[in-house]
This record gives sequence, C-alpha cells and structure tokens, in this order.
Amino acid sequence: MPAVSKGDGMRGLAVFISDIRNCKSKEAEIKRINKELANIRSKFKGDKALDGYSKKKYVCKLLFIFLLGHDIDFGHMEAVNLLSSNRYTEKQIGYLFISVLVNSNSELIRLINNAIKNDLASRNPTFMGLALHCIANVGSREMAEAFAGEIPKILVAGDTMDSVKQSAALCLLRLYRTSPDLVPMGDWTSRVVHLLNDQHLGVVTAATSLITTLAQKNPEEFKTSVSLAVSRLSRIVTSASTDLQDYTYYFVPAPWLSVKLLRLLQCYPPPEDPAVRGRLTECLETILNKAQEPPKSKKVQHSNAKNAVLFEAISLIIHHDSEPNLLVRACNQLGQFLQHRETNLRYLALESMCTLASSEFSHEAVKTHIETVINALKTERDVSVRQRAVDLLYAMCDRSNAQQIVAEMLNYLETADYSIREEIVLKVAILAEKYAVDYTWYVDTILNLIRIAGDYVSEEVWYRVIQIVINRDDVQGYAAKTVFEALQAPACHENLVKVGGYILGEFGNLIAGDPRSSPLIQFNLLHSKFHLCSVPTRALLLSTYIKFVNLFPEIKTTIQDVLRSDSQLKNADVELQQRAVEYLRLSTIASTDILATVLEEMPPFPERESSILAKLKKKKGPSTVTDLEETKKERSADMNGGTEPAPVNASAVSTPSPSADLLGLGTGPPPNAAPAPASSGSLLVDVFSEPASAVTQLAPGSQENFASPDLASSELVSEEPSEAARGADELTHKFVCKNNGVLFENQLLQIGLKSEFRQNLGRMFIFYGNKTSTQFLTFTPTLICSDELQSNLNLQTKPVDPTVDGGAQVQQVVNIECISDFTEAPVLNIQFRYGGTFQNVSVKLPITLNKFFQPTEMASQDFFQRWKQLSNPQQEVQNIFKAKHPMDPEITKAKIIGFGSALLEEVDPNPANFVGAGIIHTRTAQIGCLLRLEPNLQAQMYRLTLRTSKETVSQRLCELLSEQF
Amino acid sequence: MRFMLLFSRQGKLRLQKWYLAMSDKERKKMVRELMQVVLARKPKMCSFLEWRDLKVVYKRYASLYFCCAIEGQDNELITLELIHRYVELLDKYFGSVCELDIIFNFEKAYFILDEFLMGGDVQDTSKKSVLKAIEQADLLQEEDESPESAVMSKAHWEGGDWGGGGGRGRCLSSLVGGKARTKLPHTVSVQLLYSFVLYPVLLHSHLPIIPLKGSGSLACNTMNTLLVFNHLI
Repeated sequence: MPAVSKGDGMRGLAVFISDIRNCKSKEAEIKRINKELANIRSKFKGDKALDGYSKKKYVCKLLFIFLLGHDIDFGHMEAVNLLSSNRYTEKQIGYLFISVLVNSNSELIRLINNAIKNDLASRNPTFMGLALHCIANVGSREMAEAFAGEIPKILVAGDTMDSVKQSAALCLLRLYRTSPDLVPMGDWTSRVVHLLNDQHLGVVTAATSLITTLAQKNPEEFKTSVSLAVSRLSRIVTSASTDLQDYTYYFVPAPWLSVKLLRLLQCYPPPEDPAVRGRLTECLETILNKAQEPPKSKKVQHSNAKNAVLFEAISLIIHHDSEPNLLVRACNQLGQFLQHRETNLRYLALESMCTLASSEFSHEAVKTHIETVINALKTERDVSVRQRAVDLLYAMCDRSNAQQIVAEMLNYLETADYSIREEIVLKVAILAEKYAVDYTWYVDTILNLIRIAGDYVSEEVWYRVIQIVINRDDVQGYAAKTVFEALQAPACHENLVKVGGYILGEFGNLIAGDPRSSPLIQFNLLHSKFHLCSVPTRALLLSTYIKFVNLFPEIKTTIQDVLRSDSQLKNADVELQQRAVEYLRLSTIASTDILATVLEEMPPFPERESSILAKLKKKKGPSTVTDLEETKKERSADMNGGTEPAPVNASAVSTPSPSADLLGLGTGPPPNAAPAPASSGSLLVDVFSEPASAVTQLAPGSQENFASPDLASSELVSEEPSEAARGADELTHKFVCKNNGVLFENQLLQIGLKSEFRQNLGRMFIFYGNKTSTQFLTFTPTLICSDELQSNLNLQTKPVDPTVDGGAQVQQVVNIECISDFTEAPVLNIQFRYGGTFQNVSVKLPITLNKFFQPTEMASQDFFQRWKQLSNPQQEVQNIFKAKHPMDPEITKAKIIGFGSALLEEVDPNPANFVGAGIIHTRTAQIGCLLRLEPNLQAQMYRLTLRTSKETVSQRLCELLSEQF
Repeated sequence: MRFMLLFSRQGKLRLQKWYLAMSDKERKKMVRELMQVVLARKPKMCSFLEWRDLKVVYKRYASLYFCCAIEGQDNELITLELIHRYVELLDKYFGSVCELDIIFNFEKAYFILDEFLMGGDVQDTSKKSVLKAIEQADLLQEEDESPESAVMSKAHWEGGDWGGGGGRGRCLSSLVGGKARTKLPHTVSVQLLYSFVLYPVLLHSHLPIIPLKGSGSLACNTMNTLLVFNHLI
C-alpha cells in the first residue's frame, strides 16, 4: 500500500516533529532543533554517501525547521540533488524545499534550472507538473529568462495533457506577472484564446486567469476572447446544476470559472457586436434573476458561491456603466444585501454600492438607501463594516444630502474607532467644503470637527479652513465671531487656538465693535491660551499679536509689554525669541503706514486642489473609494480602443458624484493616456507645497521674508505633473531652461528637482516622494556617469536613508562641478523594494552644459566685433528647424534668458531677431558664447546660429537650444 | 492571491504559501502582524478586512485559521469558498482532517495546495481531479519504493531514529501495518502517534477541522468553536 511506505518513509520526521511538540519551553525546542541541525549537518558532510531516502528525510526535516521560523543556511545542494532523482517522492520533496526556501544564489538557480529543463523535456506529465509548479513557486527573473519562451509551446502543443496545460497556463501567468518583458507575445496567443472553448473546464479556468492578465496589458491581441467568454458564460449560467458534474459547487455551476470570465470581460468595454452584447445582457439578467430564486441549499457555501458570481456580475455592470436598467437592478439587489443577516454580505454590499454611487444612472437609486447606511454606521459591531458605511456615505453624498451626511458623520465621530477617526475627519472636511452652500455652515462644521476630534484634525484641515475664510469675504465676520465664541471654552484644542489666532489676527476687527469682543478682550482671550500651547502655535500667536498692533492701535502698549517680557525676549526657543524681538522692534519704530502695509490683510490664496483631498488619497492608498474615478479611469485605459470609454468619462464629468468633480477629471487626460501621472500628480504636489503653506501660515505677517523660494517651487511643481508622462529626452529638454520641477513620476514614486548653479559649480536637490502608503525598502538612488562624462563632470552626493515611509519624502543633495564641457547627461538610477517587488527606475538627470552659463551684457558694437572674431568655420554651428511651439516672442525671450545667456536688446538690426551672449564656466576654461535666433513667422521656422570659441560647445549648445522652440 | 497562511488559535503558523517574492524578514513581519489582527477579531465579525494595501479573507475551522491575502479587485466571496474547497480536499484526503494531520504531514498539505492553486490562481476547482492527481502521485510513490528500499528505510528507523523507543516503534509499525488496508492509513498512524506519545500536551489540535455529524460536532461545541457548517463525507 502506498500509504504504508509513506508512513515508513517519514517515520524519522514524525518522531522529530513529536519531539518538538513535546518540548516544554522555547529553549528546549531550540536545543532540540540545534541537535537535529548538527546531526543533519554531520550526515551531509559525512564520508558515507547518503542514499536518496535519507537525503529526502533530512531535507524534509530542514524544511520543517524552517517552517517553525528558524533560519536554514544549508541543505540546498542536497535538495537540488533530489531534483534529479528518478524517484517521484524524492523529486517532490526536493522541489518543495526549493519552492519554500528560494535562494537567489545564482549558482544554485542554474542547477535548479537544469533539473527543471530535464523534467520539462521528460514528457512524463507528473514530472512536468512538478517542474512547472517549481517555476511558478519561485517565479524569479532567472527562471523567466530560462523558461518564458518554452512554456507557451507546452501550453499550446496539441499533445499536451490537460493537467499539464493547466499548470503551464498558470505558470506562464506567474512569470508574466513578475517579468512581463520576458514573455514574448506571438502566434501562441490566438491559440490560448481558443482554450476558452476547451472541453475540460479545468483548462478553461486556468486559461481564463492567464488571458485576463494578458488582456489587461495587450487588449488588442486578446480582443477575440470577449465573444468566446460571453458564450462560455452563457452556457454556464443556463446550465442545470448537475450538468457540469464535479465543477458544480454546492449546486452552483462552475462559480470560479464564472467569476473569472466576468473578470475577463471587465478588461473590455461592452461588446460592439449587438448579438454578443445581447447575449451578455441576458447572462447578467439571469444571474440577477437567480439571486431572487429560493436557495437550492441552506449551506453557506451555496449562497457564498452564488453571491460571488452575483457580485462579480455587478462589478461588470458597473464597469460597463451603460445599461441603466441593469444598474438599477444591481442597486436594488445590493440594497437587499444591506439588511442581510450575513455580515459578509453587508460588507460587500456597502463596498460595491460605493462604486455604483458614481454612476449617473444609479446615483439616485443608491441615495435611497441612505437611512440604512446611516443605521449601519450606528449599529454594526464590526469596525471594518462601519468603515465601509463611512465610505459609502462619502460616495453617495451630494448637495441634496450633504447636511444630513455630514451631521451623521460628525455624530459618529464622537464614538468612532480611533483607527478610522482621522479618515472620517478628512472626509467630513472635504464634504463640508465641497457642498457648502452656506459658508457659515462650513465654518461651524470644521470648528465642530476640531472640538470633537481635535487630535485627528491634521494640519491640512485647518490650513484649508483658513484659506477658505480668507478667500470668501462673506464669511469672515461670521468666522471671527464663531472662533471667538469657541475659544471661550475653558479647555479647547490647540488646533482651535491656531485657527482662532489666525482668524482673529486677520479679521478680529470685524467683531471688535461689540463690547463683548473688544480688542482687549480678544487679546486677553488668546493670550490666556498662549502658555498651554506648543512652540509653533505660540509663534503663530505672536504673529497674531503684531497684527493686532496694526488692527487695534489702542492695545499696542499692552501687546508691547507682552512682547517685551523676559519670557518672550529671552525665550530659549530661537524662533519665538526672534519673532518677539522683531515684532517688538517693528511695533516701536514703524510708522502706522508701514505697519499697515506690512501687516496688510492676506491676499486670497490661489485656487488649487484641496490639500485635504490629497491627504485622504495618500492615506487610503490606491485601491479605495476615494480613488473610484481613478480606478475607473485605469480600467478604461485598459480598455480596448478609444471609442467606447467615452461614456465612462462623460459620466464621470457630468455626474454629481463627489469624487468626480473633486478630482478635476474634466481636465484629466483622454482615457487612453497613462492614468497614473494625471491622477496622482496632485498628490505629490502637496508634498511639495506643504512646507510652503506651513511657512505662510506661521509667518503671515512677514510672508515676503520666507515665502519666495518655497512658494515659487510649489507653483512650478503644480504645473508639472501632466508633463511627466512624456518621453525621457523631452523631459530633459524641459529642464534645459529651468531648474525646478518634477523630473519623474509614476504610481509609486515622484522625483522633484531644485537646483542652483553659479559659475562652474552647482547644487541639485533631489526630492524623492513615496506616493504610496507602504514603505519603500532598500531605497538606493545611484548616479551613473560614463567614463567620459566622469572626467568632465564631477558629481558628489551622500547616500540617502534606505527606507522611505509611505507618504514621506526624502531629499538628496548633489554637488556638481563642471570640469570641462560635456554632452551626455548623467543617469539617476533608483532601486527599491515596494510591497515585495523590486522596482527599478532610471531617468536622465537634467544637468546640461548651459547650466554653467553666465550672462554677459554687451553693446551692439562689442557684439559684432566678437562675432567677427569667432568666424572660424568650426566655431560656428547653425541649425534651421521647424517651430514646435507657437512662436511667441515673449516666450522666446524668457527661454533664452532661462537658457542662461543674456538677452541683448537693440543689437540685431532686425528687431524680430534675438541675440544673446554669455560665458560657459568650466574648471579648465571659460568659453565665450554668442547666439542669434532668427524666427521666420511665415514658414514657422527658426534659424539658430551659435558661435563659441570651442567647437564642441557650439555644437552642444545649439542642440540644446534648438529643442526649446 | 498574494499569500495564504494557516495558523492556530495559539498563533502557531502551520502552513505558509507565498505567491510573491519577498525577503524572509518581511514575511515574518507580515505574518506576525496579520496573525495579531486576525486573532483579535471576534466571532461573527465579517471575514474580510483591509490590511495594508491588501484585502484579507479568513475563516476559522476548529482550531485553525485559514487566511488569504488578495488584491483589490479580487472577489472576496469566491476566495472564501476557495479556502473551503481546500479544507474539503484536506478532509477528503486525510479523512476528517485535524490540525495534527497538517502538522505531521505538512508536506502533503503543501502538495495538495499546489495541486489546487498555482501561482495564487486556482488550477482546478474539481475536487475529483485534484484528488486524482494526488492519488496518482501516491501511486507513483508506491512504485518507487522497491522492496530493497522499503527494507532499507525500515532498517533505518529501527536502527536510529526512534532512539530508546525501539519497542514502541515496533509496536506502532505493526499496528500501522495492520491498519494499512483502511483507506486513510497515514491519518491513522498520526492519530496513533499522538495517542501514545503526544496526547497529554495537546490542546485541541486533534479535533477534526470539519466535524463529523454527531460526535465530532459535539466535541467542537464543547470547545466553543466557530463552525458555520456541520456536514460531510
């Protein structure tokens, strides 16, 4: 009997396991394990060659020890030896060991690959299965390199057994996931699609998984799968529960396959062929109908499997977003689930309804369930379900129900789980702002937020309320009055002191007429909180005081006394001390006019995306409700062709759904564009702008002193993201005429630059922003220069911290010295691990020769004299090219100045031409450069002439500048 | 699917399967964290939770938690049934499987999982085809064991591995031999092993994961387990 030999074969292992289980303490266990390890080591090292059985047993013991959580650093070789055994059990254990203890030891991988190769070629289906499993389990790049070409052949070969086909399909899928570049598309793809017609449902299941993943990246190639999938699905949903024999699961026909087929269809827009489309609609209707039928079994497995198919069908309906009838039916079905006794179903219904809420067809239908959802918020015992309810309320919110929803959320906040408070605060703040008809309501809501959950109110939230109050003069008086009243509370949150301090400092005068809030009372009220606050808040309050000096001359002396006190003037904190000293001086020596100018009311903030929204997105990660529209966009980007996605986008723009407008989709890229940069750009903009806004908030009175560099950069950055998707070279060109901006951006990472250059030296600040909520590990940026470039350009930098927390930003400084002129650009290579996968990004660093330009002003006469001196043919380079941008003289001037040369007016006899001059500084030489740009508006052409004392410099500068116009 | 974990109520990891490359250290950290989260959840709570950037689907069977981490767009309910199908497969193979079966035959648990899932995707959902594949493998194993090797292996464990317990070993071997004709002898051998050697230190890990109608479910009720269904075989 097989089982007996099996029992015998593993007897030693069984005893070892029971020994371990008998150990009374951790120490005893470790002792026993060490003894065993020593034993195994000596056996492996011993003179006697071990037979296969012993090897198998010891390898298995090692595996067990590893699975207990101990490190195993030997035995790999023995395991590899087992792979070449002819005995199935030995081979199997060998493969298991390799699969579990993958080691990137390349020597070993080669040996393993050899064994796998032999087994794949063996034509023994069991051995082939083992080998394919091993490839799928390890899935490393080396394996992909070795086998990615081979497996498609096995998959589509006519004589491959069904079980091997299944393994081959999933094995290929795994390789494609890890190294898509290594899996060659080709003839096999069309044959794989036809596996959807296979007799064997197991093969169809495996093939559907593979096709779904492949179709996401190559929709065109797998387009034919749509009709095949629809007909397969139709056959399944209409079959009687016994038709599919063993593929029927608790009276549900082939639930796994159904779910997978429905997933596959979500890679595409609704079928164009009316027949296919009709058949699919029929399928979806049948699935919805079945949900209403009485269950065929009381077992939870039956209802789970049935509902799994139903939820996937609803996902498809939402994805297509084209059949109002189906959408409303889906919504009603989910509405039933909202009150189901199964917690799982309530959870999923809430989750699924969130996506429905964004469809214009079903938004209203979703809204009818508001009471149920609010009730869920109050009564659900599971925090993860309540979280879903919050998400859904957020998604279904519009102008008609905003007041109710915000009130309920605030209500819930009082008792909410600590883990989700911050998120609720953000959501309330966003909704209150978005749907505020009456800004007094908005102010009340935010102050309530601070009162109820002050600790969870992040900086962004209170910055935002101040921005809004400053930008809307109809609410300023009310805001001043409300914060004044709120500050009366004996214990109020520090965030309230911040908001109150700022608002009273700006608009305290609006309520000063009331004797109950006279200037002195306002001041005393604020100052009574002063000593309880942290340093940044105190700094803000000091600024408020100096603003009071301007607003209320009558309390000037009181304030000066406070500023003059030792606790201010001699404060240990440098910032506070400096403010006290400066403000005191300012209040003493400046005339009222100067004071009034310096401390003028803050100008309105430029309108841009709410920083809170960015924060929420950052917090929730990429796959959640708030990103609904983005997910949609991503999906539509996956879709095939550009015709169908249009309705999706149109609805996103026109629907009253909250996320649509907030994300500014209207200005988003066309559906076929890469989704990542556009959607996430705003997110990192914020990382950049945070410090800037912090500065302006804290030092409102003296904005000029602080703001310029930071503000300028944040403005620049916010223009960038959409451009980031363009080609790398184009990117470098973009930086030729400027020094700051976003260099690179994808879904995970954003790289921003700020740089400055003087003569032949420069310094570049590289900012790496982690856009995800997960840590990047082993984060290593490296600068790569070719040998030639290295001798011309000296770059120095320090390594950065290898971990970058989610949402965090790290900075790296590169010191640059130009030794001699150069043409290439250094490459910035960044490697890191994100969620277990290895990421590698390379971008050209925009350090170009013109960065070392110093402008030189000169008169017309000098210019022409030098021009003639540089008449040697090698010194001149000329380029005639077509204009790539509108030929606006002002822009052209700005670009020439940005390029680094001086723009010389009234030099060229033709005023339409541009003339520039400057010196390129390198360590070894200074190279004078003259340039002349002649636009021809009629032909939309330019002629650019460069004359420098060095041929290579003329050449390079001409190349660089030509790309700019 | 990104990974699958089996762990006991006491927080002992019984099986781990990773479908994504990750360092050992990270894995350990994730396992620790996730176990904490899942074990802290009360019965009747929903089987899904958001964790890091993943969705976690879990279900408890007797003393064992089965826990899968899936991606954003994956279907939660079908994953729940995936877990159940795996438990059914284990149950069919071992004959009312219990945690101990999985501990002592961990390699078998892996093989069955591998037949069922590959690279995180379901390979075949038919119980029959998966079990047939496993049976075939077992048959191959039988052919492997030529008479000499069987003797050799026998000599081997009699010679050393049992240490002082030679007598007990023999006794067990004869018992196992005697029982070998039953359909699920390896389970028997495990149950014998623990009844002789291990019983005193066991908690409840010998109870079937899927209780039998009648006796099994009674035993489970006494330990207040969360068994959503009672059934089978």
